[in-house]
Amino acid sequence: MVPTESALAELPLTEASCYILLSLASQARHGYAIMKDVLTLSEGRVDLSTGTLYGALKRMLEDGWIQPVDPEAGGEGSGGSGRERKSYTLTDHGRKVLAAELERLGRLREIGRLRTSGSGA
Amino acid sequence: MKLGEGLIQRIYTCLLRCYPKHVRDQFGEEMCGVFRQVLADARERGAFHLAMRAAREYRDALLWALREQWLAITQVVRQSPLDAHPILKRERPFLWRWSQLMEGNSDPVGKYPRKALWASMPLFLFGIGISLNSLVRAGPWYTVPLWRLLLSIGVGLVPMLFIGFVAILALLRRVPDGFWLWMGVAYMGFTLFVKTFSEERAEVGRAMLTPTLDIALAVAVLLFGIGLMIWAAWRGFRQAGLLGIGLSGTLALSFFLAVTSAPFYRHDLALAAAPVGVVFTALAYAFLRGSTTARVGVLAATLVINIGSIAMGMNAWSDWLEEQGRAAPLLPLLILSAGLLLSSPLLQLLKHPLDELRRST
Repeated sequence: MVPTESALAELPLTEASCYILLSLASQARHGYAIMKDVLTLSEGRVDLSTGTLYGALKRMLEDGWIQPVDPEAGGEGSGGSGRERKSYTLTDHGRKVLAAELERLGRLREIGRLRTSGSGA
Repeated sequence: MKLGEGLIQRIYTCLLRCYPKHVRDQFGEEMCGVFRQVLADARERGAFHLAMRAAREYRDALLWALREQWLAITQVVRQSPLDAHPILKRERPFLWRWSQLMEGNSDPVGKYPRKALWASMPLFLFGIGISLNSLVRAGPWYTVPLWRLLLSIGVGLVPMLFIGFVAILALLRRVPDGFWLWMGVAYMGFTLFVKTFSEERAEVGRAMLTPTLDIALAVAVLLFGIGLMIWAAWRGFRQAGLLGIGLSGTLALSFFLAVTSAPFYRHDLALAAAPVGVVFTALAYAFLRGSTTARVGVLAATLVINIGSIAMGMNAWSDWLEEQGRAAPLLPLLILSAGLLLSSPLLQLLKHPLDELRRST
């Protein structure tokens, strides 16, 4: 996916935001599933609290990076108790933002590798 | 364990009240559900882990609530209702109410008797705190048992702390329509407390904090008071009047507390603080629900009660002032009281001609 100008303008993402987007990249998830998935993806390093998670989700909803999923459509663990188990999924714009961030991190990693191995300019 | 977890959950639910309403409506239920699951996970790892996790969740909930409150304030101030941020478009009723309040032409509190009564309560609470304090102590502090002294301080402090707590909540919620009286009472109560405390310290030749910080605090308190008056005036005549009644009424009631200090110990006079507080509450209620003419009448009646309270204080102090060879500061106090009562409403009356002038230029 090619990052657009508007997606590039959102960068850089915080580590928590990046992990949340990554968590939602593969499938729709509800809040608790996102927390658990972020913990797994970060190998236990990023342990989101409920307040932090919903602060980030609110901002992402406002910015149009994610959208709530119709409870009928479901998501991981969405068969729970109605409103409490609302799931979220990435929008196209959210995917572009995530792709742009990953590309930025990839470039940074490449520059770092070149510089630290002594072969870069 | 179950009881403890129930309590932890309830505290979290209470903390969610610190979020703006639109955020609470959107995410509150979900957050409670996730918090329950987080607690269940933490419980499996032991009581210590459970406590630490709950503490972390509380801290983050509070910090994010403050952030959301700030965002709500800046978004509302920055944007007019018609071109609101997409997320706020769903909040049209709230924004509509906000814009109505800015115009000062809606009366959501005054329409509802219970809300109006709640909005009018703080001066009664302040008065009852003073009266109960005197009722329990009923004499010079060194003549009563320690338990009575502590109880008298306690019963006096509880209403005042409650007023302060409500005022902080009101401030976090951008001071809703019915809370200007609470703001006035809390601000004036805090100012009088700082003044009295600093004077006590000065009597023994010591600063309250440090000389520089004392001046900085005094300037900050003064500027906040002026800011509050301008803010209320900008919001409307009703808000400005309530703030004025709160500020001047608190000053008037404080004289009932002042006459109980050494060397006067007039606890009999202090018992009148509660009935005077009731009168203030009735006046504030009439101000909220009455017509413009009634409101002007309420301001005049408040001024009369303020003068009476100050005169009562001066009368109780007269012998002592005479012994000290000092004149009673009646006139400065009357000017201060009238200024506190009328500054914000008068500023509000100036707002419309200024707006007209601005439009015409």
